[in-house]
Amino acid sequence: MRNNKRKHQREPGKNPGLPYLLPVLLLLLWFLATYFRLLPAYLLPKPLDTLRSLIRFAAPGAAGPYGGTLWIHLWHSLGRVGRGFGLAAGSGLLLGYLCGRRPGLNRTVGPFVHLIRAVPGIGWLPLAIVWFGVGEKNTLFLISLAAFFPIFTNTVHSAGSVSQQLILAGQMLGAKKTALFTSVILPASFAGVAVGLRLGLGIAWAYLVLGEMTGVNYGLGAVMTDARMLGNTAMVIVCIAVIAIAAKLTDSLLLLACRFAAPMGGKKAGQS
Amino acid sequence: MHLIQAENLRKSYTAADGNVLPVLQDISLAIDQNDSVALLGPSGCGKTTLLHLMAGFLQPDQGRLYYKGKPLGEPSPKTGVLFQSPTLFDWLNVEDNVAFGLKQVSLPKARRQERCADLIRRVGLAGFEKAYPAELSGGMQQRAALARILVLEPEVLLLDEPFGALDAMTRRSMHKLLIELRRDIAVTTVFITHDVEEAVILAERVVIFSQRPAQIVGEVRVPFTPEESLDVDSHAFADIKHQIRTLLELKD
Repeated sequence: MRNNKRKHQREPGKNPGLPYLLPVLLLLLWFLATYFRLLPAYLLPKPLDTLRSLIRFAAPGAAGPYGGTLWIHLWHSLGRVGRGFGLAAGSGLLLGYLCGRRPGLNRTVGPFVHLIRAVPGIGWLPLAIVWFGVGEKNTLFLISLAAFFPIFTNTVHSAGSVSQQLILAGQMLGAKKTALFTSVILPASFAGVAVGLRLGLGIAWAYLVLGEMTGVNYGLGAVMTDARMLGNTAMVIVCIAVIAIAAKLTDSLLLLACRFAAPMGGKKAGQS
Repeated sequence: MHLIQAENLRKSYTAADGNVLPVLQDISLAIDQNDSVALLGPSGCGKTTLLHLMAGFLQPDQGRLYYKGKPLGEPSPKTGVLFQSPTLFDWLNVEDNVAFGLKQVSLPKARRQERCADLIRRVGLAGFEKAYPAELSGGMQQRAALARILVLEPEVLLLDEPFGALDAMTRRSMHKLLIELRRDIAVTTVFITHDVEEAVILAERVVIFSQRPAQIVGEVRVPFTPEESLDVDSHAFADIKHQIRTLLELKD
């Protein structure tokens, strides 16, 4: 048994430390760069100063302009990502499955969607500001619009590539319309759809920051913009780190939900 | 009244270049309850199309197809199809694959589990209930696919060269399994093959098709009991094979 275990650990690519290698290396580089003052502090603050900013940001009731406000900002940001992603997932899945299973509809809707998709998300910002003003609605619009495309595109493709024979098998075994959709088409396309959802969630975080920069009172993007204007680079870095961790956690949560919903399909989606 | 009756069936496909490709030409065939029929013909002759017509997957261009005297309807569990590839639901384990059809009808859970367990045992997959299709060999996958159909007590079992991709030993064990199952379960069997030996082993009637567009060129009755037909080295077996080969025009 012990022998087996040791062999397992030596297998290339299986070392559990591998995912931490690059972050640790980056941190080390950061330490060295500030220790030897390769860059001025306003460009690159010291890691320890940044850590102190983070602690003040997170500790309830801490002093300073951002003292203890992390959670309220995070809460607002999470809410926006949740609403925007929810809107994108709802519409992307619905329209995606319809287009994926109805070639006629796909030929009607598909080209138009892809035409709109060709506009970079940031290109919508001026129009979004005109339509919705700065702040809440504009952010929601940007997030849901940007997150919609990967969800829609992946759903259309996955729903459309469910093998015809699998559908015939379902029919032959007595599954009709709704049952055929829920028990054959949905699970058979799930892995690809889950990939689309993960991509969409990632993009939702990206556009959150863009939207929040245009002027909201609470939100990590708002803190970032504020800190940048005040020359507080450490806070900008803190916000980046918080967003990275929050986005990673929501991604893991989504993956967990996918695995729970479909053990075999979820496994495939997690390989990306 | 025949169980399945085909009258002058015609079917053609339109190729990508617009050419119309006739696949079936005036196929008339009657299959009775408890028949065991092999549709034998060269690869690509259109046998699968005929099977798909019988399953209700396709509609003929011309001609009529009756099931118990009535026009044949949509695909249904009355007519089970074992495909060339197992076509299992790869997100479900063996047990849930077998239970799939029974879940579409209201049946007490205990009764359902009982029937599934029985079929899984009969096809020799006891102990693999929780295994996923990807974890099974090709032969085991076809066994699961067979159980998934038979658990619904179909009247007809259509087999589309389901053992073609298996190695010789697995094939032989699948032949034995099918013969064994047919002894206990009354089901009309129609299966497609391009292998003369397999046709003689499994069928009582061997219907021979020409090259595409498929036409029926003849029929040979196999006078063996299912158990006798497993003895592929007997003289009688060789005679029948020769008779069939003559009709297929590939005497060797």
